[in-house]
Amino acid sequence: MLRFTLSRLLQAAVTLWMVATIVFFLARLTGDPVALLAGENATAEYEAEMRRRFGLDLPLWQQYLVFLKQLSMGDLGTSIVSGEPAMMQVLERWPATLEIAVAGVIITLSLALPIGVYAAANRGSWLDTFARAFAVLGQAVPAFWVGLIFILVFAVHLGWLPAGGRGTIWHVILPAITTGWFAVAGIMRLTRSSMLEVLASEYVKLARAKGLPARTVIWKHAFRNATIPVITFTALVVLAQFLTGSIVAETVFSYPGVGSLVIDALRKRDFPQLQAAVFFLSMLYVFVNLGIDLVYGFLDPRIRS
Amino acid sequence: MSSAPVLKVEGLVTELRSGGGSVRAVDDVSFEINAGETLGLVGESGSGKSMTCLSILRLIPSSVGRVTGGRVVLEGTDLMTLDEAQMRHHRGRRISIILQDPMTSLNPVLRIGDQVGEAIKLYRGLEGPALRDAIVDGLRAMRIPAPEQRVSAYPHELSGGMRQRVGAAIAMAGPPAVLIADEPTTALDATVQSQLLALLKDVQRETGLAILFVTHDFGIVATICDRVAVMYAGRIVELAPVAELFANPRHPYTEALLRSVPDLDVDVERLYSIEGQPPALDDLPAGCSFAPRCAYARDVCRERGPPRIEAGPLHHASCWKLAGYGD
Ligand SMILES: Nc1ncnc2c1ncn2[C@@H]1O[C@H](COP(=O)(O)OP(=O)(O)O)[C@@H](O)[C@H]1O
Ligand code: SF4
Ligand SMILES: [Mg+2]
Repeated sequence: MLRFTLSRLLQAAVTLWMVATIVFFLARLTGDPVALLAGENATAEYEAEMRRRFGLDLPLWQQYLVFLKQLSMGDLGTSIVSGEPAMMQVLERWPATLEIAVAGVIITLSLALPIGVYAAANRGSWLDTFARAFAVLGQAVPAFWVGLIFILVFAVHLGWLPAGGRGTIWHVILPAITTGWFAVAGIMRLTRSSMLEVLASEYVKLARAKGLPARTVIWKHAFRNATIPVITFTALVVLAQFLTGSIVAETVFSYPGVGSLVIDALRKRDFPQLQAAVFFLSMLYVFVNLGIDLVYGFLDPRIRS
Repeated sequence: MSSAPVLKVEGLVTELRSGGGSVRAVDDVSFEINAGETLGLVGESGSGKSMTCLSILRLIPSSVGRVTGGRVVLEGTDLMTLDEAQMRHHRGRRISIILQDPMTSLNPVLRIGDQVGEAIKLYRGLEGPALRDAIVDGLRAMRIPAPEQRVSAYPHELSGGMRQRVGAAIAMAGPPAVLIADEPTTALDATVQSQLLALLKDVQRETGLAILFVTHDFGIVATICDRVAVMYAGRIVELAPVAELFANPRHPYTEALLRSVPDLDVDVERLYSIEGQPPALDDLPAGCSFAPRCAYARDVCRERGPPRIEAGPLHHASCWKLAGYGD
């Protein structure tokens, strides 16, 4: 188990290094931040001075080495725009992203799991048919569009929920549903098919033959086995929510999280800020991935030993 | 051995969904089993043995099919007339089953103790330390070594033979009046197989259990069964006491099956297997289902279903040949 953990940690470090490298070079493809910052009337000397200050005058490979050296000491640089440590902005905004992600996962799972289980246990019922139709619909519609429709319906027409910003629990609901939308359909469908497979298994047949009530057969004997493949998918979806989902929802709902920070930094060519935000999201990705393995071990004793 | 039938199956019919229509996987099956007796149920793969077992327990999933006729009388109660809650009260408690594959029939994520314990708790209402003791006793009664340690093991930590003993411990938790054993030893190697058979025989001697033992192995039939029913395409074509059946098989299918028994003394080349394939249920021939493979078939066999002939006390077979082809 120790060797397993160490090798997974090494893998994680390599992944993070690769992500950092890709972000570093991609960011520099977007153009020159100094041109944006200094404005059109700036003198050539002023621009050269700024470039020196941010270390942008060095050859690219030297910039990269400096970046790696700082990174290895846990320093993600200073924002070109605000002049503050880049990580500070990220840490300030991170609770907002977490809020949406957690609310999104809770809403997603509390819809997708029961519906998936019920649809499988009552195969062919009207709810099963409806659930399957909904799943197809859900996966065909993009998240940003759902977000806009939600704003139109619940904020503009009905006036029930705020159209954007952060502050109360009401602000969280629409972005959370928007990020979770895609996942509900997928997790529901996966739960259903996984349950159907488990319900046809020999151990479920034996559980029924024991005379156990249907409730016990479904939740104690079938559900836990059926969730094993669902976990990976859910975890991947959670990751997607941290990465793409948070970016889409936070932008549509002007929610001040790490996702909208990425877009901001990109727009202003604030390289260190962009690097810090993406690096942070990737770190979450890697840690959640590590977490999945532990959850697996908990659910499936065959993996533990 | 007492002689009151604890299980009486009469005219059982199970229809499975097939394409747009339905096929009869169990067709007019009748037999009785007395306390302390073992009835063998033999037949080629696909002949409907497992469907018969599941029909008796009323465990055919509705997406697969349903029992459409007949009675299953367990200790005087017709199970087919019960509602689901009443039926559940009999399942496991009075009539239990051991499934064929020990590798898949235990839940991989639950501990052995839990899987045995939930049955004991349900049937006998035990809790806490009393339940724990009963679980260990149950495992020990099935001759599982170091039962105190096995309680906290997961199925994948046990061998196939041990898992099948756990299956037996679950099946005996009631303890039941009738045990259905659906090829419980088919997946096991010879030594483990004979240990399990010996165990079941001992348990039967102590408890007066009635056993329906499904197998396609006549060696096992000879070891454990008192009487044996031969199944073909969903029907019981012959039923007789074991010695009588071996000495005097009357149905051409039984004869062919017995000839196909691998004899360890002869060369492999001389082993006999029945020519042809069992018929598909959705394409059964008119008349006798066995006619396409039967050396004795005549016109009448292909036109009308064969009559049931009493071939001796406790011995009957359904065949036109035994009825003089209707002359
Ligand atoms: N889950 C199922 N769905 C549909 N048909 C089935 C199913 N299980 C078995 N059958 C069919 O029922 C018939 C009897 O099968 P079964 O009782 O399993 O045979 P046996 O146990 O004698 O090998 C076969 O024709 C088989 O194809
Ligand atoms: S009824 Fe005819 S075909 Fe069927 S087993 Fe008897 S002799 Fe053969
Ligand atoms: Mg079978």
